[in-house]
Amino acid sequence: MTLKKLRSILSATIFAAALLPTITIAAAKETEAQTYQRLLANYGRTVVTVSYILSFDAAGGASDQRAQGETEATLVSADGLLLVPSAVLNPTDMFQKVYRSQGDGQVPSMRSSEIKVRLPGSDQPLEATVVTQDRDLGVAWLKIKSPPKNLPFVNLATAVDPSVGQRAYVVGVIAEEFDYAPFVDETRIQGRIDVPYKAFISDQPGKMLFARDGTPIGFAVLRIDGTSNMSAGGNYRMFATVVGGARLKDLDARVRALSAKLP
Amino acid sequence: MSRLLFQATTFACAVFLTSQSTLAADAVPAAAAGNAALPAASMTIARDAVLPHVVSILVVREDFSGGEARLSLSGGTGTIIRADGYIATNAHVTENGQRFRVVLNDQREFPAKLIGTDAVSDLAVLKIVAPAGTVFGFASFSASVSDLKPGDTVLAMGAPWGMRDSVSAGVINNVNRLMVSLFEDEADYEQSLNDTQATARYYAWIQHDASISPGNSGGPLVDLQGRIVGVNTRGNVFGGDMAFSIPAPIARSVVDTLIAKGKVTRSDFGFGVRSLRGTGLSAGALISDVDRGSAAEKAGLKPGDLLRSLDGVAINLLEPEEIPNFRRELTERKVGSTLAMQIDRNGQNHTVGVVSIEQVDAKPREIEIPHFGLSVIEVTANVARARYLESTEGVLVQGLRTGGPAATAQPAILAGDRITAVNGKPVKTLSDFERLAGTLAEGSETGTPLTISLNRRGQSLLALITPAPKRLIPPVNPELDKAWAGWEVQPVPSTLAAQLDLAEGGFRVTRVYPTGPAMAAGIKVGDLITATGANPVKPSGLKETSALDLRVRNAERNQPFPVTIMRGIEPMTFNLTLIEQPKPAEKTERLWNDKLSITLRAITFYDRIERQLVENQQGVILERIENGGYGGLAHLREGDLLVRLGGASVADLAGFEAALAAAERSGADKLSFLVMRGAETRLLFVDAPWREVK
Repeated sequence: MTLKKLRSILSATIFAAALLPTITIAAAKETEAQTYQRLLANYGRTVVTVSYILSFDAAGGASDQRAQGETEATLVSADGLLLVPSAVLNPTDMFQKVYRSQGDGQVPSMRSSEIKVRLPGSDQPLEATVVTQDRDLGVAWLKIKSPPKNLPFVNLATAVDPSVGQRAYVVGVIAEEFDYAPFVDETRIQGRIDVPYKAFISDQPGKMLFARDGTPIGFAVLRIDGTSNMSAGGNYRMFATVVGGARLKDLDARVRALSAKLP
Repeated sequence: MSRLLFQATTFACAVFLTSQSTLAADAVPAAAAGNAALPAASMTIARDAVLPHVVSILVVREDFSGGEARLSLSGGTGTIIRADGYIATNAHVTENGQRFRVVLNDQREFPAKLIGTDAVSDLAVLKIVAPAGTVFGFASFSASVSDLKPGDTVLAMGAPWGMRDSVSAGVINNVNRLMVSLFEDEADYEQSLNDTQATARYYAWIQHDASISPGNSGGPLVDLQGRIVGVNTRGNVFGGDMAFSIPAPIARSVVDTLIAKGKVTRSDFGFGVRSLRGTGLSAGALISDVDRGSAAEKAGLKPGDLLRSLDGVAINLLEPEEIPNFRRELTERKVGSTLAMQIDRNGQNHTVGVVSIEQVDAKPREIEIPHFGLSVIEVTANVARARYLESTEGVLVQGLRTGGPAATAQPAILAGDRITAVNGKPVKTLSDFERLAGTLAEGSETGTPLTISLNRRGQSLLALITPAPKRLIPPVNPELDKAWAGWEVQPVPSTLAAQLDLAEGGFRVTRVYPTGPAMAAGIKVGDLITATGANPVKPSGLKETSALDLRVRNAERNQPFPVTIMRGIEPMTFNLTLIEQPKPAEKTERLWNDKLSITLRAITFYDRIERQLVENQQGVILERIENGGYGGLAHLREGDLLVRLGGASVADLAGFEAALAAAERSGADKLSFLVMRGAETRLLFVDAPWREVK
């Protein structure tokens, strides 16, 4: 191993350590307010805004109509890998059951492209590309093409599964007119799914869930049930499934390998 | 009134192809239906004199929407008026036309080029592109139509709805029809007409009731002496029996000018007039408007002035019907000539001298700058006046591509902005901008922002724009590899299972793909899948298969995947080894070809099954075809499997590009396509794109 490589590994380790301090001990003693403040300090700058162009596919994949959209994403690597709900790329995925329960059951085709990322404190949009996605789980990974160095990120290598009933924290950002100020909110892991794949139930879709000590425990994605729920005023039932931390950790390794192959 | 009229320009290509035999079976000859008393012998003379020289015109037009140029097809009619192949038609037929083809009465088809167009009279001239020395039969416009009277029989000839060589008969209703509104203030009505509705503000039309439809535009109106007495230009949008033609003498004059000079020059004095109807006045004419910055304004003319005389000749315009001829007489004066106007303003007499300038084309040219994601128009004097702009310098943003570089510039560029410079280099004209943008776009891949100077409602703004190549097809978003069982299933809920005498519900196998894991494991069509591993699998309804699909896709590949099925009354267990899912069409890479305006993709595993292709079948599938592009003109269809191009085999997307390049190098006049369409094969041709007539 060359000295240069060793130095590189050491600096990366130091950087990761700086980003994720030994917060477990602190968490046990700190107040709720201190927990919020620590999570904001550690993860507030890992949430970025993503804009994209939605194309409505006509026959044969041609794009005849376009619209602009914006969402938030979570940085999961220092070199600009981002986790977003895959519905951002394929909006109709979320409404498949709604469409299928109506009319001829045809699901229109829409997809996103021309993705740009805006980092906190910057007004310079950065071009991003899609690394891959898992539309069943509802997650997708983007990569900033020319990222600044050493971006703050959520380290999924440390992610673990949550348990039902566990309190979970999320970090998000509010709207552009408030300069995308970050905030913390909290929820609970409300249930567990075993088939067709293992996952959890919660709310706060589109966000990374953290344990109180800051350990990532899952990523929540929105689901919409096609059945009109009259007990809820006739609206379609909405809930969030959570891809557990352990699955995220496995996927993170696969996605990093794919990302490394990008041109 | 004219808002109720159609211009026979656009109709779907499908209409062109509508089965003529079906329509013919239902059609009733006009003479038999309502004109039984018409003299058949005279009709024959009229038909034979003109119909052989009537052509159908196919136009590839370019229109702009959302900052992007789109090609489409439209059609009309024309008449060959000279032996060397000049064709008279309507200006609205050739409007925005990029390419033209004409089909003659003898079925010969030729490309054509635009010689000139005059929106004011709605007339245009095309010229057939044919080998030197080719001589065409032709018909002529009548020099006079003063003998035409209401009730005279006339024939309309043309291609209604694209059905060429059609003849309909009717009578003249009015020989001097001017478009004036019975209901609106005449100045308001004047303003409400758009650029292509101008004709009857200058020229009285012939109104008749020979049936015309979209596609008849530009076709001749013929009397029973076989004279062309008019050029059909408008019909009634609700159908019925009201049609309008430009009188032949006017058409003849305008068309001759277009052939000689390419345009018709008219004077613009910069003011409008209205009649005295409703004013209580009995002599003169009212100045209704004075254009800002015009010669009339500079000369001191004001709206409300009462015009008493012009060049010493008393003016009395009592009714709106008198205005068009007056206006026409003014516009036909020599450019640069002076009007000596006697004006009564508040009881005081004034003399005003107004010098005319050349009337500019009312419709400004529009271009798309794809790397900027916008379209712009030139700032003509009319545009500047209408938008309160202080100068005609710069270009005006007309449309923006959603999410494109201009729409996401900082700050975003808006429709209506006037661009005056790019990177500090001044933009004075449309050509300046086209050239500058083209040069700068070459560096667009680098992502270097450019500075756009623009004027927005009097404010001078700077915007940063990052040019980007236009993506005609959004890239396919990649997905993680998933497992595949190689079956298709239908859900069988427990209620349906009971009716089918099955012990339980599950998923019934409806197809087993060859080479798939299910076939390898011995699963058959009709098997009922009831569990995977230890977990029962039950459908939630009659449509939804995701309960099983998700389990399969999320299982490990190359690992045992136990499946419990019911075959008859026997439960059985099979161990599948799932493999990677073959790529469906939506995940296959696509190719947009600009020359042919088509989108192609590779053949997928599923195509081979559904189309029952032989194992080694090669080719590419046509996904999208732009109507007005060369692919559309070749009558390619979405879903066609292209197997040969220009005589070379097409194995895949790269093979397509190679075959097209080879055909281009050959310089052949025609480009051939061999496609598989369903169970049939089609050989199609189009004039090669590199032989385009400009």
